[in-house]
Amino acid sequence: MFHNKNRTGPPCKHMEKLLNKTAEGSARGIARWYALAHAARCGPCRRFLNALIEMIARLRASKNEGLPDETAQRLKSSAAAAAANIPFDD
Amino acid sequence: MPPAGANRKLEFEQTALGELPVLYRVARRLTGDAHQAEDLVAQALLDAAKGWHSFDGAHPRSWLIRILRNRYLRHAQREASKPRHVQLNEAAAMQKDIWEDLDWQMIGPKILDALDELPEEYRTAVSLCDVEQMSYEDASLAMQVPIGTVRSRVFRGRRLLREKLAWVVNEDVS
Ligand SMILES: [Zn+2]
Ligand SMILES: [Zn+2]
Repeated sequence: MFHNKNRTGPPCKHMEKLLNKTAEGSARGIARWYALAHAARCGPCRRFLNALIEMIARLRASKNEGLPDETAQRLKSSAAAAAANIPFDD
Repeated sequence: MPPAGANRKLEFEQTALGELPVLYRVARRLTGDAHQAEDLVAQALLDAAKGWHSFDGAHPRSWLIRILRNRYLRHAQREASKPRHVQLNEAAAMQKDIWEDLDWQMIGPKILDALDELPEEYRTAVSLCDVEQMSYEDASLAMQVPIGTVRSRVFRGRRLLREKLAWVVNEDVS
């Protein structure tokens, strides 16, 4: 299960996909358990996993700021203008 | 199916209103510019209104993003001659240990700037799946590529983003 005793350097090649899935939360059950068990014993994979988890959290949080009010208002007007192009029918 | 008759306008407007923040953020990542992003959303909404009668009602977010992105890509082809992205210094990036801890205090505000420097297919994949937290299925509908392709673009995109971020640190200290 564990191939790389160094604490730096790139993650184990065969673990990259599974570590990505574990970091984003899509790996479940035994796959997730295996990834975490590997990372617990493999320095580079642990670092890779932690780095991904942190980066993904930052990306997810980046949208929490919301839009500036004026932008939101102008976009709402655009939506209304587009809707006005839809013909009444029947 | 969107309802026929007078409700169709209302249905469209309600669907669009709910997706405006996502559409704007995706447009902002595509165009790299706040003003152009607003224009792109406005134009995409007009396209969407035209196509509303034929929309089946499933995955409205993917449908709207697909329209937005297709409009952008048609336009971007004309502008392909002016490269906006500075090439990463590959040799320097290879030497750098990109998975070492980053100073997020310093780098945090720059994460979207770094994302904006990735090639479009990686930038959009990360933007849809990591920023907007869309499922791979919804992202694949929006980008019109298989789910496996989206997934590999996201994985590769994360690595490229990490290289950019490590490079930002490098640049600032040197
Ligand atoms: Zn192994
Ligand atoms: Zn490993």
